[in-house]
Amino acid sequence: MTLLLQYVANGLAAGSLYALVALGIVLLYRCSRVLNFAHGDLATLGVFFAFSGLTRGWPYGLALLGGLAGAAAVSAAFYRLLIKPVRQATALSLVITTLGFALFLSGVMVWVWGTDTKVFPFPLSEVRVFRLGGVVVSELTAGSLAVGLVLVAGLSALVQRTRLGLAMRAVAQNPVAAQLLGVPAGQVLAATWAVAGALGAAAGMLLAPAVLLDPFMMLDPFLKGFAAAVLGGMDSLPGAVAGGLILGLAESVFAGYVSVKYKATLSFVVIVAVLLVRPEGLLGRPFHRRV
Amino acid sequence: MTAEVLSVRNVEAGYRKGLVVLRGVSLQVREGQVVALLGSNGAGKSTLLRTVMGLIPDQPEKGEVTFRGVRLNGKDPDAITRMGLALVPEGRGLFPELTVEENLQLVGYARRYGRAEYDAVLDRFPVLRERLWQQAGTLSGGEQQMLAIARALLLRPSLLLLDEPSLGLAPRVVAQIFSILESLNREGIPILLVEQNARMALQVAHYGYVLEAGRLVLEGPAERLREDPNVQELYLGIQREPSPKGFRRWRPRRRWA
Repeated sequence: MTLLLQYVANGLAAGSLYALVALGIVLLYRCSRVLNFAHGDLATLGVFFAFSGLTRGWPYGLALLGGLAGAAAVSAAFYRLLIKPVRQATALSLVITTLGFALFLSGVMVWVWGTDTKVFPFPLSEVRVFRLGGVVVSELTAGSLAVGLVLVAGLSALVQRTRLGLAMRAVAQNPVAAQLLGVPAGQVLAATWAVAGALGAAAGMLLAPAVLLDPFMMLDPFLKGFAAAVLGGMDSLPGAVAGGLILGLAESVFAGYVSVKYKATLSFVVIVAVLLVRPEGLLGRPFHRRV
Repeated sequence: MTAEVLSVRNVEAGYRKGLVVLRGVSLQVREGQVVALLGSNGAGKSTLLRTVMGLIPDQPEKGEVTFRGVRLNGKDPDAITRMGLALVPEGRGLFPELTVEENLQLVGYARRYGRAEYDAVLDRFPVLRERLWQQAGTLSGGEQQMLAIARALLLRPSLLLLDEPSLGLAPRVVAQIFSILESLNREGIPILLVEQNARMALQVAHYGYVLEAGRLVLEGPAERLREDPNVQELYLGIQREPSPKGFRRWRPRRRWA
């Protein structure tokens, strides 16, 4: 029983990171109908920004915030300069554009920071632990879970309670009608991209202390986050959170009881199984095509 | 003659892939006027409104649209809306998953409005007040149209453009919506009205244009259009030319073409 609880705790911490990544992907997909394959690399870039700040001796808070802001700015600029001009294009050409940008970003990161792995200094330690009953939770795990939950709550407050959130929802549903009410759709979308970029970077910063920082650090978490987004339903923000947590839990429990080797495979098996039963994802809306 | 509010001069516009819809259209809306734009399906009425609002990228191809002397060509729709033009689009352009209240609140992006103004708009549409917390998608067709007009009014436009406000509504609701339009116009808001329902449109309008295949074929004061034999035959369904054997033309003759 203690063992199971331990797996659950680890799974929830991993899951909250997947959820953060998935939220960024879903947010962009809902608002701009773009599948952003550069999401992982944008996140890594944000972590590198923070890393540069730290190596220059900035305090933690400033460096981490700087990293988030940097990722947000690059993400918004990417939308403004590359995605918006090709808005009339097909879904496929947008996907190619984001893939190209992902390659470009990882190239830049290799060029600037090199491919060697770096230790990302972080205020929370992986070694110091809390003991709750028999369950051992490292500071970092507890911190990831807490920050993840806070960010999820913050995003939901942003979308549901603020004026910008209302505009985001309106633009997601009908961009033309939003413009006809004077809502600057371009700016709202740029803001959405910035928020998504910052979310991704936050996930990256929580992950970096555990896995070491290198330009391809976010590849696996990005794929997991993407899987979580599909699992929860591409159109649903709560779905992204649920998808991320379920994926994290399933992986951790599977790794504990069955096999660590096939842990990554499992997540995709889960997705295939869910999509066979509910093609729209767990919390997504079924799509109807009118003939 | 009162001042021009909207002026469309020699506009040619279309969509990508070389589909030209408007082939040189010129029309004016003057202060305090209701102008009706009539035409059959595919004549280019909606395209004209969309061109004015900047909804078709890179259009108009040629010609000029000005609003109170300011050129609108190439501006973004949201900027044009903030200048004081409000379009109630075909299909109403509501956000079905937002509540009625949220649909109205979005206007806050274009301009700040006071509580009194908000209440005044809702007083015009008492049905909406009862449904503030309902999702817009669950409203009936007439209520949706009213919400669309209410939103446009909250923008306090200096020109209201409406694309087929009577589409798909019961005659009684249509009459209600037209009486709202009339009362708006009495308060001095100029209106450009695109309608299939020519009878209703010519009743409220002061001036009218007839658009056919992208060209204006007739214009004049509404009373003169109502009397025009072509308009009567083609748009008002009044039959002329009684033949001795009771034959009817399968296709009405167009004398202006």
